[in-house]
Amino acid sequence: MFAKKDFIFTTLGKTFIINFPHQNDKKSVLFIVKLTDAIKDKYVDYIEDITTTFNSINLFFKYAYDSESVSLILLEIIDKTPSQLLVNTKKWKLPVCVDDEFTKDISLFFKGNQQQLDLYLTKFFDLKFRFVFYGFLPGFPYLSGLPIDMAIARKSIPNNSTLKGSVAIGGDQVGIYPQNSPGGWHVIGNCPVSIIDFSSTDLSLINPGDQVRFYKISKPEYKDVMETIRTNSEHQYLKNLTDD
Amino acid sequence: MIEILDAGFYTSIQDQGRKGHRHLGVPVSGAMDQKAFELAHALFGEQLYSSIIECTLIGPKLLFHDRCSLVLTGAIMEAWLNEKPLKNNTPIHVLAGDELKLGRVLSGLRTYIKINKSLILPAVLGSTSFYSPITKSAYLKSGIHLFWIKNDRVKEHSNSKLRWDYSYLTDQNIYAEKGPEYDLLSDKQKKLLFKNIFKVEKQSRMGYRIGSAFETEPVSMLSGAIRPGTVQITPSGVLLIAGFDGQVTGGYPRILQLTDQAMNVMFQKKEGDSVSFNFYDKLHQKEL
Repeated sequence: MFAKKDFIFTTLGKTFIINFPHQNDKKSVLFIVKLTDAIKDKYVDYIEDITTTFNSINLFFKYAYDSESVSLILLEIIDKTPSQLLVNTKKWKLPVCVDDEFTKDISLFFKGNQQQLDLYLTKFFDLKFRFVFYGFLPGFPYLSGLPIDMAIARKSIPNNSTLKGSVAIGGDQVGIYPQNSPGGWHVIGNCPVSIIDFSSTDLSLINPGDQVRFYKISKPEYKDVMETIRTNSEHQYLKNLTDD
Repeated sequence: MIEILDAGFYTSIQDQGRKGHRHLGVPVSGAMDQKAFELAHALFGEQLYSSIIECTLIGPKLLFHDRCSLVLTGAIMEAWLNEKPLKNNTPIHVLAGDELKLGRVLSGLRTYIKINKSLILPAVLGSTSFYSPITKSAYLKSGIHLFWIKNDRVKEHSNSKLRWDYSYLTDQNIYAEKGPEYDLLSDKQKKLLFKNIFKVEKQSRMGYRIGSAFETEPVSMLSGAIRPGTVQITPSGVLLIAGFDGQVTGGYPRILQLTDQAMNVMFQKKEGDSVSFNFYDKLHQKEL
């Protein structure tokens, strides 16, 4: 958990940034969720946006502001935010196909060593991740919880096209590509379900602090999921993927 | 109704932008030259912002099927209404059958076409600004039609002219504040940053890429917040300036943040143009 002195303030033009050490435990992640809500309530009329990353809360002010008085108010809010709290989080399990066609990246990383690759994937499917924030691309989720000994550095030269649905590792971060895009992360499989649906009224069902697990599906199962989504909506399908 | 006879090089619809959705990873979008966007509305006396057409490098050819008024702001492009040359910042009546043709850009990069009607366009997350794949397409295509609301209460343009300074289109000076990772640069690098003249290598609505003269130590940092006008530096020394369609997070050191006014100057630059950075004194609200 955090001490008051862990919070450091900086600015990026009209954006005020609260930095803190990246901490992975549930209590810390949920504290930041709660703190972000409290700050949002306080400044709702003055900001365009409020975002979080692994180690920052960012307030996008509409106009120029006095950073000293903002700092004082924020310290007060940090003081008042209880560290023991109840936040309703959900648990999700998302299907991932690790058919050869989706594992070229990771296979190349292990230089074609099938045994090492299988071991890595087995460990991966046992892990529980936490959804922390969206960034990079619309609907690109950043998940924490990959042990440091499973971290894989970004490629030195990004590829031109990473496929939509790619579940990928960048350092000790895990993400899912919401669209085809250039990317520098190592792809380990493909998740056929988008977790955000911009045509839906409730855009994101998955919220910061929620737990995410992955489970392995075969190529025929992958095709079935794609077909079901095509005839229904992404969200309709996603609603059935809770892990409680 | 407007018929797009020829869409030009890169022409899109932009409005006040998609604010309030960065937490979903969605960039704000909106006009790259905010000053020209605001001026276009001011010339029609409009308080509320509407959807306008942003043209890049080579403008479109439009056929008007109904009467309206229009104005051009931003970069200066070759422009004709039927065969008659048009001037920027001067609202003009357009009749059914009139043809507006914009040609090559003469000064700056991005020209705005605003009409005194409300265009009928699908809004996604509260904005009509084009940004694929949030909206179906990234730019207007030849052959499509843009409709507007009939019987809309519109303001006729006044004949009063606004004083307007075009010098920002050719200004090389880009004013910026320090970014959060500015102090990762060495004293020597800081000096070079403000002394050197840089060339624009590549540009799009996502951002600008400009080459620098020095390399930096690679730093491993977690992704941080990016906004339009944020300047990041890559280990090879490339400077990346986020545009209005730029990513909401980035993993390189954020060394500078352009001022609002500097963004208007920067985003009118095209490939090959030169820029130099200057410090903006925040405390005294002035450009040094």
